[in-house]
Amino acid sequence: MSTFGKQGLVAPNVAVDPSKDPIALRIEHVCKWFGELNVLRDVTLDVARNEFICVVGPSGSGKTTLLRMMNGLADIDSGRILVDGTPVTGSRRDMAMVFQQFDLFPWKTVARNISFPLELAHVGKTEIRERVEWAVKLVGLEGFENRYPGQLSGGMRQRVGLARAVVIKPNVLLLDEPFGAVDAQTRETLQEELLRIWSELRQTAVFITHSIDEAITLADRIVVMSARPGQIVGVIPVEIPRPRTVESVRRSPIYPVLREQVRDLLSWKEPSDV
Amino acid sequence: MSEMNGKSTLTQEEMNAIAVKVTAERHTRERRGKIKRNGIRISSLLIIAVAWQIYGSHTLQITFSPLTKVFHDMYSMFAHDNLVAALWISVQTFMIGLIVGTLIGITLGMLMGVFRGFDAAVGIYVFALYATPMVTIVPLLTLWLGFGTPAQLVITTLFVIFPVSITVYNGVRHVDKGLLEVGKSFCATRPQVWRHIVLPSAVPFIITGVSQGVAMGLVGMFIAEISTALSGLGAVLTTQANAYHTSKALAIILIIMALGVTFRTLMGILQRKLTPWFAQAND
Repeated sequence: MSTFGKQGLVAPNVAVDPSKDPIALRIEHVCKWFGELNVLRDVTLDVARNEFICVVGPSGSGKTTLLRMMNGLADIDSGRILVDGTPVTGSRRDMAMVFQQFDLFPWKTVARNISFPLELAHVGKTEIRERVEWAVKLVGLEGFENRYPGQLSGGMRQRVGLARAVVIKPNVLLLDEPFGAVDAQTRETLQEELLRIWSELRQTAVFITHSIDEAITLADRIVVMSARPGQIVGVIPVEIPRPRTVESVRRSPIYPVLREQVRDLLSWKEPSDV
Repeated sequence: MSEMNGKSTLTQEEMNAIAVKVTAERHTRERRGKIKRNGIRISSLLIIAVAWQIYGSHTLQITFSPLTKVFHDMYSMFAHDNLVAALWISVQTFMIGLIVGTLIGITLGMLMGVFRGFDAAVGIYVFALYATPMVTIVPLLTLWLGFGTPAQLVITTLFVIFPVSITVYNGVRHVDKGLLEVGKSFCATRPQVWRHIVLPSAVPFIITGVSQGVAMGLVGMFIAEISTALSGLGAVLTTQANAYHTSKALAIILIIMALGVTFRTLMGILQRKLTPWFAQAND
């Protein structure tokens, strides 16, 4: 299904137990209403362990709501979401979110922003120091540990957001349009960085975006959603070999084909509307 | 022009030299701007002082006084009339009122901001008293508490409590929703949300509240000193003004002004110490 098996890369920081269920995340018949408005309609999806999923959809397709439900930030009205076989009932420490607007604490330094989830979990001081050092290095923020977020560019802020999420070594990484608030060039740099970081971590990731290019660049599979009500209209595997770069993806012969497929699905209308 | 063709021909050393030069020029510009502004400030003070002196020398001494006489009388009051003791009494009243008022104000504001039931029960009174000019209840307070030190402390404290509590309340109520969500996402307990998110984001509001408390506390202190048993600077001012010692009254006003400016400056320093992320963001 995906290509990561051939790469032979072993993630040193993620405990992957092969005896475990190969399904890391299971979404079963999830529905959601905001008042009268049906935001999500019968969403069902299995995400394999260590798979990178991109969810693409227009505004109003409920993709962010779906991610927030996975993180326990929004209630599930009907259906259920299972992580490693246990249903999501609230936020949990084996999942971590990267937020669209960064949402860093302006009064904490970069290092203290990153150590925040560890402090909440009462991790020991020595381990906090080691893990923060590791995360800072992973996202390329060495030398900026004592700056405040207000002193950083948008791209660097989101590196902090990413470090804050991976520092707790979650089994599932959730990213809510993380590069939506930065300029186009920074965005490509960050995509490149995420490809590199993910090739080191090799963990299950769900990435929300409205950019088709971004989805093709990053994903093992692209989940395409439609708006009002939000539902899955297609799942497209991206069989571009890893390791990837933004450039290598663009040059891949199947890139225009994938692009066309996703675009077709995005313009999908409910049969009754046609 | 043509052989350059849009390509950079400067070496790294040349670029570094230019960067150093540009930075130095910027610092010079900023320094000159600062010197200029300070120059204007000092000139302004000088002009007012000279105008004061000229007007004071050519008018009835009952209504106004030249600046030199004001300073001379200020010196003689410090030297012979034990003005230091009066000042010390006033500062004590003010400090106790400010500290007690701030503590009660912060507690009230926090509780109201966090517990909706508490807000519903107590908020109405806090907002009503905030909207009431405190001066109006001073006569009642002297009726209830007498004319002694307790009445003065209660009056000063009351002047401080309400601006502080309202500002802190607003600070707690306007915590960034996104940050609260981050806390929830990373499984923060209620006390952790308080320690890591609510309290730090209320700090700038608390400082603003206390700054207002400083201003209101000075007013409260003064009103307390002249509307109860005369004491402190308030007593000196009233006595001197009633005796038409205008220059001495002006001297007291200048001392109180200096007191206010000193406390505001101290608050500014405290603010930079407690909220370093604001200062550093503008580096």
